[in-house]
Amino acid sequence: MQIPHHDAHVDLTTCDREPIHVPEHIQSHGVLLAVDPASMTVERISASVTALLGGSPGDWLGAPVADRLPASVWSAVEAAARDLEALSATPRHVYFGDLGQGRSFDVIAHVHEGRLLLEFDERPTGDDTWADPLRVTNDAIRVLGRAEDLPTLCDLLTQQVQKVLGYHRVMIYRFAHDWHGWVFAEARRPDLEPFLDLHYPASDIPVPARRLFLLNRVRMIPDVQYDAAVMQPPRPTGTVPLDMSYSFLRGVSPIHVEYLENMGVRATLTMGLQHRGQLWGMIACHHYDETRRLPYFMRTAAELITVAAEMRVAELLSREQATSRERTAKDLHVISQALAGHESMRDGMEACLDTLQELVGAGGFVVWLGEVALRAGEVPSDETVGEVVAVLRSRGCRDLFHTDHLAAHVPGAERWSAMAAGLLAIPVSHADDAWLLWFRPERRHSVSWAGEPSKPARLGPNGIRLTPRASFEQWIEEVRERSEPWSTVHLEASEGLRTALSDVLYRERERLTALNEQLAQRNEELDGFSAMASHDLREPLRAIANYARFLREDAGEALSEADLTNLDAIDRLVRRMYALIEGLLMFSRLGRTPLELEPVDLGDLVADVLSDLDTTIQEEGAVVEVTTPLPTVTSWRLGLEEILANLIGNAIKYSNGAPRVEVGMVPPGQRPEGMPASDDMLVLFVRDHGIGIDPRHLHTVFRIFHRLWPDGRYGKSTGIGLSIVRKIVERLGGQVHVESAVGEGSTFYFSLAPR
Amino acid sequence: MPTPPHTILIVEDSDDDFLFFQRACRQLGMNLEVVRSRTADEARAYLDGLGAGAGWPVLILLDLNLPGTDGRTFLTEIKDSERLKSLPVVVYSTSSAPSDVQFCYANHVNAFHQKHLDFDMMKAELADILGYWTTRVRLPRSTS
Repeated sequence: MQIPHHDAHVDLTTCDREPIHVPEHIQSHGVLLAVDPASMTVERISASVTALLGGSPGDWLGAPVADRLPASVWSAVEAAARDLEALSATPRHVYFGDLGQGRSFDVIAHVHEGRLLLEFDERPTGDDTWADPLRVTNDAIRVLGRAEDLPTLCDLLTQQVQKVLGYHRVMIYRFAHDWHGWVFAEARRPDLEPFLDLHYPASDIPVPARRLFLLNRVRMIPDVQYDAAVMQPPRPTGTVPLDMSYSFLRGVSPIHVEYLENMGVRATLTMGLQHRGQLWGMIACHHYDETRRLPYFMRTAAELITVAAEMRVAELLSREQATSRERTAKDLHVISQALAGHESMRDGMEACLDTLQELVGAGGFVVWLGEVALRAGEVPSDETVGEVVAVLRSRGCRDLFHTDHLAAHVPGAERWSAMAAGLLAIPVSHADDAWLLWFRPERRHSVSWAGEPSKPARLGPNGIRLTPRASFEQWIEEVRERSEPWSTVHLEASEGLRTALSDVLYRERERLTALNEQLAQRNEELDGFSAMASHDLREPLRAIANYARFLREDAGEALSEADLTNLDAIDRLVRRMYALIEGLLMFSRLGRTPLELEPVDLGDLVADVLSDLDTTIQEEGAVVEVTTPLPTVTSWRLGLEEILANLIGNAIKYSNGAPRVEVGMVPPGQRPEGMPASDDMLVLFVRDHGIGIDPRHLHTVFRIFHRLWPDGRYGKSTGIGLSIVRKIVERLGGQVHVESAVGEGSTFYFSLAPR
Repeated sequence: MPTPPHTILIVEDSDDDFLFFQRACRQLGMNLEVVRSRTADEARAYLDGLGAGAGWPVLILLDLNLPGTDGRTFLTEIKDSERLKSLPVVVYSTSSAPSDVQFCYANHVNAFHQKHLDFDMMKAELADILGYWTTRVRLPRSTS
């Protein structure tokens, strides 16, 4: 007889709803009796009764069980039925023995939904190939006790189960949080294709199947090609079907049969592995090309091994989690040490970059400090990272953010799925735009499969559908653009890191504030000092100059040529020193004078400066040209005037022949390196075609009191003009820069915020 | 008929500077009665000791950086005093700090002049100051 559902159209999406606990038939290697416990009469019986126990279903239906069973069996059943409560949802072995015709049966009884269900499981006579179940169980449990970690435990478990039960392939199938699963361990006949590491979508072991494995741990299908033994009488429409959740003989879902047949599997044994009331995994045994039926006592041995394994799984899982937490704590310690050992957070993180990446088991890691500051492992382009940060910022992300599907949050991120399908991000400081980002690759790139992906998939009767390979492909499709999800331990680790970093950041900020205060105080002291010094130095200088002059006035007649030359020297030196002091005073004053911001028309300002310099321009025959239109800015008029007067004055001074000077503005695209490229800032230049500056001296030109030429060669210099320029520019939030070539001239640039 | 010399009160701690001042005045041929105080307190005592009519200076020439009571404080005291505030005070200092200039005018100084390094320029400046305050301006009646 064929399985009735076989020809029906099978739709995989219906699996989660398929009522597999009420198939209305059983596997034909046993007999199922549904008995009314009140009258102890047979209500329904499987058609297999005729072949195994004798008599047609009609002979049994309605008959008292006592009349149909040998007295020894009946008395065992009756004894068990006295405590129906004990049998509720709990199949118990009530009898083993000859039921006539020389055939021995194990009888298992349980109560479910008000019915007493009796199952008769024939034990083949002369089958003494089975080892002593107590001994093998004992051995297996001892071996399992040796495992120190989960992978080893599961390897040993598959080996022991294969050894004790003799199936061709034994796998530990493990469930993930999303109920997809993968082959976590495998023992197999060497010629079989490995399934190790294959992942399967959650729909492969649908909800009803998972539920049954929780209720009824051991499930055996001795022959996939069994003839269905239909329950008699057929269920009248409108009545409740017989619930076979706890029955070991329960008929198999046609979809499952198809799946097994497609794999070439003839017989299976499956045991659910529970952890904390949930299905953690399964021990799945496959037998190929021949049927395999375990007697009741061997199934019991298998169940015992499973229970022992569950205990060890629980122990090793918590050990695994503890180890993982320990490793995290150790990593965090290493990171804290590195952070403590460096002045800046950035340097601290650079010193432990690998640990940071490993902390949360990421494929790549980025430290973002306004831009990509540090990177480790496989990470997307800086531009993409920037887009990711922009999205996080726009979400107002204040806490940890994690996803195993980045593309769902950042448009276009699917291009980077290979290395960045998943993201874990923590904002370190919004003020500093500081983020830590971890990336995980797409799962298809992170799972390994022992099988050969290039080998053509084996075709089942319905094509490639319902084969492990097809399942794997389907799973790969389901997790496209997705990474392995971030575990609790990893999320906790990143939170821990965030706390550590905020401490560092706090300390860093405190230190900076203290330094700033110190610096401000020093600057103030220094400015005060130079102002005072300048002032007090000027008075004696004036006195010296005056006395020298009085000497000349009062004793002029009596003085020799040499005396007069010496007096000239005193006068010259006093003036020089006076100029230096003036400069110093000016320089220190620049640091203290409050900035007065007002609209300044730069064109007018240059014209003013040129008119102040008119005498010099006339004397030198200089041509000063404004080459671009100049805007009006809101700035410090006096400061800007000082800058331009110094730069244009220098440009005229350091020339051979008639000086040619250009003043103008540089548009963003044409600015030299060292000048801001953004159009938030203006960049002005003063260019001469004079003597130029030796490249060796370029970096010192803005240094205070530093001169490049002796007096007389190009007029007099105090060496303070350019340092004044720099000081003003910096006070206005800009920068200075010079480019020069000896003999060709120099161009001085300075940047300026228009507001 | 020669006019009686104008009295100038100069508050100047530096003997050198006072010497330059005297030399400049001499060279300029200024007919002045110069009263010199080395400190602000000395100057204040002098002013407080003046009775009605006689000896009132037409001008106080004030150095800013003074030992003891500072020239700035002295200025504010004069300008806060009902009895003294109509006396013209001209600051004559080596300081050219904008903050000093700002401070003095805010406290009603009548003029602020910087001492020049060059003696000729100093002389020219003093000629201007003294000439102006002794001949050009109309002053209130002597404080009584």
